[in-house]
Amino acid sequence: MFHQWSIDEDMSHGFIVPVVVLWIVWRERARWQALPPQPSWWGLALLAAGAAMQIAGAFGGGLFAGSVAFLVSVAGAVLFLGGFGFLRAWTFPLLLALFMLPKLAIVYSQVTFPLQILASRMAAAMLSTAGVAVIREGNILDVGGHRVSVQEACNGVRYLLSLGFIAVVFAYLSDPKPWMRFALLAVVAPIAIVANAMRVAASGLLPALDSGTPHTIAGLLVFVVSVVMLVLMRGLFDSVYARYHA
Amino acid sequence: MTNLDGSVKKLGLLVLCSFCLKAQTAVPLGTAANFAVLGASTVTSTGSTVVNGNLGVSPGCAVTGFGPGIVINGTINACNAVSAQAQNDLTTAYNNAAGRACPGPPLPGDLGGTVITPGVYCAASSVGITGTVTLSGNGVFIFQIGSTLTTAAGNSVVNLIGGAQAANVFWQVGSSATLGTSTIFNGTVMAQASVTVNTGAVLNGRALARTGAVTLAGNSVANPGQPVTGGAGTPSLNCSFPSGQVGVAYSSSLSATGGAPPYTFSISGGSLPNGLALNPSTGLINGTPIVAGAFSDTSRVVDSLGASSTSSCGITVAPVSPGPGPGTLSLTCAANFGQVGQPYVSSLVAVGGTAPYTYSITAGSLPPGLVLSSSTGAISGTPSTVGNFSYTAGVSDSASGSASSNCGPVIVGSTAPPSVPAPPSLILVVAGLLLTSIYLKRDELRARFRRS
Repeated sequence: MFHQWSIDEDMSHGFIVPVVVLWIVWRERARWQALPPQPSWWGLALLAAGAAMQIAGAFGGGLFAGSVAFLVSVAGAVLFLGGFGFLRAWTFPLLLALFMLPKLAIVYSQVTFPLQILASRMAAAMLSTAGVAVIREGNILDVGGHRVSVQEACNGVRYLLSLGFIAVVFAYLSDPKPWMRFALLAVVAPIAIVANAMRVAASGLLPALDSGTPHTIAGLLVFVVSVVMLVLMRGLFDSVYARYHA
Repeated sequence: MTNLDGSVKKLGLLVLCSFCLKAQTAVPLGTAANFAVLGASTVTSTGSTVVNGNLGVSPGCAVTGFGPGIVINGTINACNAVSAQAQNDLTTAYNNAAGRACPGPPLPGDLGGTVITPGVYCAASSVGITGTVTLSGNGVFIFQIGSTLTTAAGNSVVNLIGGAQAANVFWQVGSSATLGTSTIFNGTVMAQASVTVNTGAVLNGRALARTGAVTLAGNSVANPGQPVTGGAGTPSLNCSFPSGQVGVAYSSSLSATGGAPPYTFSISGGSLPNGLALNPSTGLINGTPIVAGAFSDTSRVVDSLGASSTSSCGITVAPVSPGPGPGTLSLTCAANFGQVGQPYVSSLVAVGGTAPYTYSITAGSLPPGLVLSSSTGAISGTPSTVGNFSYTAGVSDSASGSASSNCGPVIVGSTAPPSVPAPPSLILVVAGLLLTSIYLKRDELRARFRRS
């Protein structure tokens, strides 16, 4: 997984996910330290399942299967040594650790092209709506002779994964209601897709933004806007909830 | 003092015209008269521009923004023999206008508020229009402007009264012409460099640029027709409408010639298709048809002297269609992007009709280095020259059916377009965590800031 995080810029956030997971476990220490250890033999079953997945991964199941096996084994060890109470207390950090798993290739290859075309279409529509003449052919935009290509790395998955992780952590820190984590996760996709299209449109409109430091800064600023949208959505959900549960 | 200056200005122009100027003949536009828009380097439109008449560019080839812009009662001629001839004729017309003797005092810097009668008028440098300039009388107006012509945004109008007609007004501009937002302008603009028509401006005339671009932004540009000599007479109405389709945005316009502009248009009998509306001032008919059928109406035009005429018009609205029927021959263009030194493989695609097909390039040219297979429609090769290349492709089938499409511009770049990936997810997540932490600790940070 470390190698994958270091070579895939969609997954480089994997380096920080374990840090956040361990910090949440430490933050919740009062809760799980108070639990009496009740070792369960079911933990051995989970460990065996994890080992089987690891073997399957080694024999051709790929990196994803091996990475899932690692998390299943951790869950098995917790269950075997601490029991179901410990496993319940560690459920959230274990689920959050899913964000460090490598992309499932079969899913990624299916969604990449549609997302590229969607980003291209939306960026072209944004520019047209703003009165800017743009020609789109497939994943290439031509804005007054300046062309940009919406390649695989521009498909928005990077925004989707990063914003999804931020959404879950933000909901955990800001709101005790478990449903808020799922609600914020649900709005991540539209926000990330629109934000990515905005980024592509900006790069098409301003040639200075299609490479180098200005390009990175522009991408970062659009992501900051996405996070602000997330914060506003949380406020909106909270207001609606308070109105009907006052 | 300002009012006095304005009065003197108006009086001066009227007096000038009353004793100095002899009747002028119209500027001979040649084939350029068939064009509503003619550029040299590019013609660019943003928004829903409607060009009533031919649109051309030469020696450049780039025509962008059509659609959403549309050309009615004309065709697009991009770097072909027709537009090249029109540019030659424009040069002749420009020199003709510039060479007319100019007997009177120079034009003021701003024509707003003046009333001008037929004749030749000159300005050594720039001329602006703020407010309304009124052209009065049935005759030829020629303005020689040494530098730029600019109309102010919002309220600038070239008003025609007393038999003055847009077809008889010529603006010879020494550099570039810019019509401000929402300007209502009459006459043929012949600019040495470029013509820019800003958002919403209406040009009842021609935008002709000798060496530069014509830039449009959601305008109505209508070719006023050939110059009219003699009495104002009765206006005549033209209403050759294209067909529409249910659910598809439609735009066309009534146009009038002769008489004494400005005109007022109306529907005096029958009705337009449901969903369409007529603008009484400009004659523009637009909207989205909601019912299929053949709709006929009697359209009417009234000029500023009250003379009117009517014409029987009709618009056919087709029902919603999933596309061309199986028997209709149609042609789809090949890919629009290429790169110098990199193989280009794409294809013209014919649908319908009766196979086998024969493909050809009927106007314009493919980018150098590319060749068309007349039997398969494949366009392949390695582009050798950077530029924009427009062409008209044609196809004929074995049952003598034919179809054509205006293709391009095919844009050939020197390098592959850059990819624009997002920053690495590690940077994004760190920034996101930082931002949310600041938000969650905002009260604490605020208190600490106040203490310090």
